[in-house]
Amino acid sequence: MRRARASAGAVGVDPQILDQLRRVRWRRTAREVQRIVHPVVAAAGTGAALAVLAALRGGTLAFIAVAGAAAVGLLVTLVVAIRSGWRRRLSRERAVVWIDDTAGLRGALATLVGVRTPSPLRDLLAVRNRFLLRNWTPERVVPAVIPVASCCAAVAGLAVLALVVAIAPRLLPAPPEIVVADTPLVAADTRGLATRGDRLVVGRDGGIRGGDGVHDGHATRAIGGGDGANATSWPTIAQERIRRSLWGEAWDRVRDELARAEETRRRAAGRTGRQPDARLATRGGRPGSEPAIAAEQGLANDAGAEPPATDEDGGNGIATAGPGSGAGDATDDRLFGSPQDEVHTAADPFALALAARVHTRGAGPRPPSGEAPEASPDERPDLAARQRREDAAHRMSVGPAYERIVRSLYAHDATPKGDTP
Amino acid sequence: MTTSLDAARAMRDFRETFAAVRAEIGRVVVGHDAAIETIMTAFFAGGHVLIEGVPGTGKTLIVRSLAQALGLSFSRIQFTVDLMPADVTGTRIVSENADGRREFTFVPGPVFAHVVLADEVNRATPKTQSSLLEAMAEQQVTVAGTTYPLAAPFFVLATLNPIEMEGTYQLPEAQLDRFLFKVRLDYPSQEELERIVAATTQADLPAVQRVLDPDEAPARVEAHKRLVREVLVAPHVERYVARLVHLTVPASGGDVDAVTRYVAFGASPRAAQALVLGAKVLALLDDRPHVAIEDVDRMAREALRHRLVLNFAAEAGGVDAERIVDEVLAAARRLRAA
Repeated sequence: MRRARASAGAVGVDPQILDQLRRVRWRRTAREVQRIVHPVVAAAGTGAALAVLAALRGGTLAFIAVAGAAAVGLLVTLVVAIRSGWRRRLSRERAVVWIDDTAGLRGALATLVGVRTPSPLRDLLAVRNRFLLRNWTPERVVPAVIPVASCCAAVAGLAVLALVVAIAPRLLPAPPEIVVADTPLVAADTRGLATRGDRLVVGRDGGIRGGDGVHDGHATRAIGGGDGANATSWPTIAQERIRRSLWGEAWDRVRDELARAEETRRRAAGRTGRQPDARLATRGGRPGSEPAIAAEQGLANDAGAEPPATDEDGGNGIATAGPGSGAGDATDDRLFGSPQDEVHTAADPFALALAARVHTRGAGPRPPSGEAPEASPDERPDLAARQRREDAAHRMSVGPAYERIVRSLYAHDATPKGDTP
Repeated sequence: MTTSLDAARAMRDFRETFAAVRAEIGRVVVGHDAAIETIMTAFFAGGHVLIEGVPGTGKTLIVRSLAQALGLSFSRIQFTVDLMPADVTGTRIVSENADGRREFTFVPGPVFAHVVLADEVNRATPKTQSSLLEAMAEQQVTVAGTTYPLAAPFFVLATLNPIEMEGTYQLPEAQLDRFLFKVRLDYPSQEELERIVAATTQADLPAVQRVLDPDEAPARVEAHKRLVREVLVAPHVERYVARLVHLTVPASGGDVDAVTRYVAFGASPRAAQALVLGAKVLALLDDRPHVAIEDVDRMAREALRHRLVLNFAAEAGGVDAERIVDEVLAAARRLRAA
């Protein structure tokens, strides 16, 4: 019906005019569609970039918040873009008016298309419109099919997303270095250790201190279990998928380390108050990090000075107190980590983590024990060799009335001072 | 006019006639260019004009010059409080015919002319005013039950004196609505005044030359008026005109602040007709067979300002109708752009 009306309205209009009108409409529609699509792409790209960032570096709740905000933003952008595009859409009647205004035809085209009653004046208008065709060619009324501003926004959004994907490997969190202290954390000197955010210091009292002295929760956030999120919920799964897709197998290793760190934290928290000595034991989550820490602390393995540690970690390679097996006279059988069930082929890379426990001396003063140290030599031995001159004490007579008082004052007994007269 | 070539020729003839008449009027009337063009626009659009201006600004001269240039008959009626309807329309008198029998004979009044100047129309009683207004609307007069058609073209130009309002009968809004346009004649500028003095105080006064032959002038003018009505109006222009008029109605919800605050009654459908007819004349003058939005905008003030009935707040605030029309125009443009 509508098509029939439109065709009826086209009676008397030059086919060349109708064809050009159709081409203008197509060109403008193409531009308007892009003006809808580009903001949506820009919003989607930016939102996805933020969501990926949150998935990589944030906890599950942060990921949910950012992803939700990005989704809402995308939805709003979509609605606004479609609404504005719907308003700008051009029906044929509106198209001719728009062309009239854009090309400055002063209503010639709209009148020709809109007025259907034949008359000599309309014929004259048709003739004049044929001459006006060159004034409203598609290239003149729609100079650019691609809207530059919105296109730039879309490209920028995609560029942000690409940038985030490109730098994603650098965002792979380092596995935390676990320092287990068998002393209450408040008393432990961890100044030398606590210099990095990816290090956990677990104290005897169950306290946990991060790189800046406060547990930043990074390890637990990284494995998605520290903010109460269900591990089987879709955000967690989505976050895990993002990490796996961007980090690949490196993330598997880090995740295992983080999981072990979390387990260590829990166990250390459960051991509160059971270890008497205030000593620190360090265990590097990353191979090769322990010696640096030990040197930094000025500490050395001193297994003989400490009571033997009790291995309570069930074979997970975590030292709790006392000398570790890696510091004794034998090699830790779990030096290279826990055995893995997967069968690796020669082509598959696999991770080999050094998991030897290193026992170090804890910070802080040691309690006194054993023989007293020798006295320091005299600084002025020449003075010590010569006998000191004795000076006679001056004596004076004491009256009988004061004799008792004077004697009590200079008496060498344990009489409390309060008893003196 | 059957072909586009005929149409083009008719349009050119219209423009040439208009320009020639305008030039002839300009020979005797100094200044008032916009007012003269509006009056001529109303003339060719088939409407009537209400002129508001102080005495001595050339109202009568303009109308008389128009009639002379077009070769049409002209009459002037000075409206006074004792003017009777019969003094305007004519009356029946008893006369003897050739057989000696007495019979009533109709003696046409001054309204039976092509161009009528109703000077100070607000000084006559409403009854007398109504007799003129019936002639304006119907192009006929009825005397003693007999209807007498007025010869076409029929053009009334009524004047209002804005001063000396005592003893006047203000035209009701319904009668004001019958005038296509309202033109305001302002004082001439100093330069125009110098030219007026120079032109009107010399021995040989300038005279208006006829543009059209008196025998064929009515037919030519009617042809021009028909051509005006044939000018094409696109649907979007009609929509714009309707919106423009609708926005002047306070209850329309048009959200024009000035209308809501100051207008008691908006413009009638006659305003829309006046807008379109005036725009058609402007289109022809611009050598276009169709009306553009700009033509409507140019006619808005003349067509709308006397049709808005302002409330007391407008009078108290010194708000005139032109300002309201301007705001309505701005709102209509915004709506069109949206």
